[in-house]
Amino acid sequence: MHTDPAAPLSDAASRVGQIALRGVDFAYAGNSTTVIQDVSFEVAPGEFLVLLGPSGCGKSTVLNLIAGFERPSRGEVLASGRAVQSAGRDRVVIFQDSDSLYGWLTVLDNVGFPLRVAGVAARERRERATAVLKVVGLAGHEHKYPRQLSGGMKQRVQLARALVLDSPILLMDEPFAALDAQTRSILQDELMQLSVKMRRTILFITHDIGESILLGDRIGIMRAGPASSIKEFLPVTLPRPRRRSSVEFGELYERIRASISEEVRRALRSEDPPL
Amino acid sequence: MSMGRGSWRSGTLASLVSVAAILALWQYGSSRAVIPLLFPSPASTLATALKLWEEGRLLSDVAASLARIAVGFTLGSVAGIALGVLMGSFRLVRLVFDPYVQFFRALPALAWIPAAMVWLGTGEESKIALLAYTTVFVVALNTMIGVASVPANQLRAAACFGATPWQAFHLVRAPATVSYMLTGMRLAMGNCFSTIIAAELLAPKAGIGYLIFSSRTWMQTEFAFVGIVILGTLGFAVDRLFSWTTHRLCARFLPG
Repeated sequence: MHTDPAAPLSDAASRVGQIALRGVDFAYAGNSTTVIQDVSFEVAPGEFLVLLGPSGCGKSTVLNLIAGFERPSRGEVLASGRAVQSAGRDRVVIFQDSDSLYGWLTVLDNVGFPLRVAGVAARERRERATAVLKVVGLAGHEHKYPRQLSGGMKQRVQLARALVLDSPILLMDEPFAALDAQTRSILQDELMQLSVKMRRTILFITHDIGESILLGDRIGIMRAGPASSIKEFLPVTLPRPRRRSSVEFGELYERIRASISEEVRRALRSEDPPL
Repeated sequence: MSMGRGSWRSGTLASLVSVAAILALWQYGSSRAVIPLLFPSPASTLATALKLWEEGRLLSDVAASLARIAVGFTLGSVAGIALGVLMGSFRLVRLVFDPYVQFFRALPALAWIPAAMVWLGTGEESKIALLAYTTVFVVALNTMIGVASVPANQLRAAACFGATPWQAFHLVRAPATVSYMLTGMRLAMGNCFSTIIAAELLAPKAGIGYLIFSSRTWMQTEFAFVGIVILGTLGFAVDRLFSWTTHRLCARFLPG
């Protein structure tokens, strides 16, 4: 937890927003199955890293470890240069399921909730929440309740609630997976534009290859579980805004698809033969 | 509610027809009774009710019963919510209290009448204690389930925002549990209306239970029927009032 007081200030500052995993294993308590094994990688401050992989590969486990919801069985997890001990407001999670919104609070109060926890006065909460709601395209919906919103709008509220805190790290756990294809595509495009503007570190979990190419600076492809790890990292050098129809997009898509199907085939071979 | 005005009207009409049919059947049945005294008709029940109203006795009986329910139900609800919150929040508290809650929940207040009389006497205390008893475990159980079923992501989100355990409780767990508390209270209110009669077996001076039991002493069968109809109607009306009030005041805490 303690930073070395002798370290130069610029060094500590340069680590704000950085994520690092070093030799991380994870297994649930009382369960011998290792979910992830020997995972090591870094995310640079301001980088958009996508973790891509088949379901059950431990993508969300990686995110939960960084969020501080789970503790590693071995190895260490660092955020902004400090060991992660518990959840904290420097790393905010956007969940796949919008049940994380508070049903008894209006959109405005949901977005202002992190500020309320932080002890910000009601008036400032309202002003800052209103401003962030404008950014995510929800102006005019401030006084609705979550149950009155569509799935896409609920995810916008989650995004606004995460942005209101100015946290250096955003952890997005398949935030668009439960949405219909049209809504998903619109939100992907908006997040692509927004992520360039806000320059925060983003770890984005998905099983959607197109989504990973559209959004990521770099894509980490995960091995099939159990005892999963990261198979390879691919940089995405396509200029933004990216188009799904471009040739380079298609080539990268094929490259990733082949890598994942190889992984799935390998996993199927290694499984016990069926009865 | 998606029901249009038309279907609401036809629904009300069906209920009215049903009530009218039962009253007609009752009237017919009592007219066939060998001794009318033993099976009073709706008309004679109504006449008795009016007479009791004019004497002021009906109002004082209803007021006495409702006052007891109000006090016992409130005490039981407060204690039940406190117990349920503690049981839902702390595993140890749950493990310690769960056997008792399950045991007493199934045990009707009626079984406690002799004990209540011996311990608390035959005054208001024993009646209110029985009503609180019939309330507390239902409310506790529902509250406990509510506290335990707060979506994990709501608590994880709060942890991300740096919420302290107390903030997680009063900003997330408590409001997320309100609908469960209200469900428990509504069930308990129904229990109170059946328990009030048992409670008023204990040497009452007034109350709907007293009205019903005194009918035997004075061979006034109509008193019992007046009491039964009043009690049933009040139970129905209070349930509707409770439901209406909670939907008015607590709509944002309810699911859907």
